[in-house]
Amino acid sequence: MSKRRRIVVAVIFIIAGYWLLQKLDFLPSLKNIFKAKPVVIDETPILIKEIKSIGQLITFSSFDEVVVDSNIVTRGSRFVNSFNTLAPIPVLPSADKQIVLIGRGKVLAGTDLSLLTDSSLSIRNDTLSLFLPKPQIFEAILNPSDFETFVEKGEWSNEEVTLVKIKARRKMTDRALQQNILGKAGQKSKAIMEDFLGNMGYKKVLIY
Amino acid sequence: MRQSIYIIVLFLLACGKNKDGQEPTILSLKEMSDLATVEYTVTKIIKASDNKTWFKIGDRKILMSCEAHIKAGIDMSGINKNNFKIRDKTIEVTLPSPKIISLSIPPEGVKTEYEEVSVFRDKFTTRDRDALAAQAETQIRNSVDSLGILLQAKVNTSFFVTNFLKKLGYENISINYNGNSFFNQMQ
Repeated sequence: MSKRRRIVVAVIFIIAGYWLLQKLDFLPSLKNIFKAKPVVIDETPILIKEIKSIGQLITFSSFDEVVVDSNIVTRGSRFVNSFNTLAPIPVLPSADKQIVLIGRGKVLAGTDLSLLTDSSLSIRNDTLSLFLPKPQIFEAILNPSDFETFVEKGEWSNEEVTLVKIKARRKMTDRALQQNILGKAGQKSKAIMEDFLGNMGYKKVLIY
Repeated sequence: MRQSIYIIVLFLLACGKNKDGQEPTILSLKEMSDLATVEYTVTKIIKASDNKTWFKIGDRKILMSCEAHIKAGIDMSGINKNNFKIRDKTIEVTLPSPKIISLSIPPEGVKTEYEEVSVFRDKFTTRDRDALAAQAETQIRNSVDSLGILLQAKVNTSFFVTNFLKKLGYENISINYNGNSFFNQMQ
């Protein structure tokens, strides 16, 4: 074997050996040396603040994705903006605080059965009549893991971002209402209660 | 020789991980049949120190608080005629086992209580804060069993169904979960 050939084979073996050791986690990856370590939160206890009895018959959920944005004009950006208006063409880039969030969450709707009263039910011979409360939106869920920050310019405080997230939640609820989630939830609630009471042996069940 | 080098390089490239494997989410309206009977409100402190990266000078710390709402109850779609045993004013109902229905951490429930950032470091961004809150969300999700919410859901569901059946005129009511007698109401 020539000297040159031996060097090439040795280099290949070194690369292959390094790659294998790295795969087996014996060596740190070269690309990870300048990679920031992830920030991990401490394990802290979970405290129960309140236990509430509810009676929510959840019959429809709407999964949706919304985009919300917000701009805040700061003192500095106001100066930049006024300078740009005076100039024939905008010279300086805008210094407004800007945020664009993408939220993926769900809206839950149904009927609150805890609102049923004695007068909501009436039985006459083999006919059962049930007056269900109006369907309602129970909650719109947008958890921290459901948000993606697409653009963030300037320093945004937690309180300012919260207002933008509330806007996203409202947008998601409005879109669910546009899809007639309440009408569909009401129909489904009636069907579930009709099945439940029918399975109990009532021959005629009237749900209003 | 050159060919063997190409083969090895190709082999190494082929062994790389594909990181674009995220499943697309289907966005739509979905029917449900869940009866939520209990809601827990829990709080948690989110504590983090960003001082583990060797090339970043100075550290930054953050202390946040978060409030979560967890709902539990039963899936009513699993109830059919076989779940009822009725004789005159006596009724025996077998209900499905309770489950967690939803976990919600509303945006207004997450608050930054304290933040300390050294001169050479950037402040925590929205993405950073969300990532920390998402970790808290996972910790809460993983600890749900230890909170006793499913047991409380059984108690509340039994109470709720019993009250409903009383309105229908039943006097002796027995509620079971998966064949195990859990709650008996005799009047």
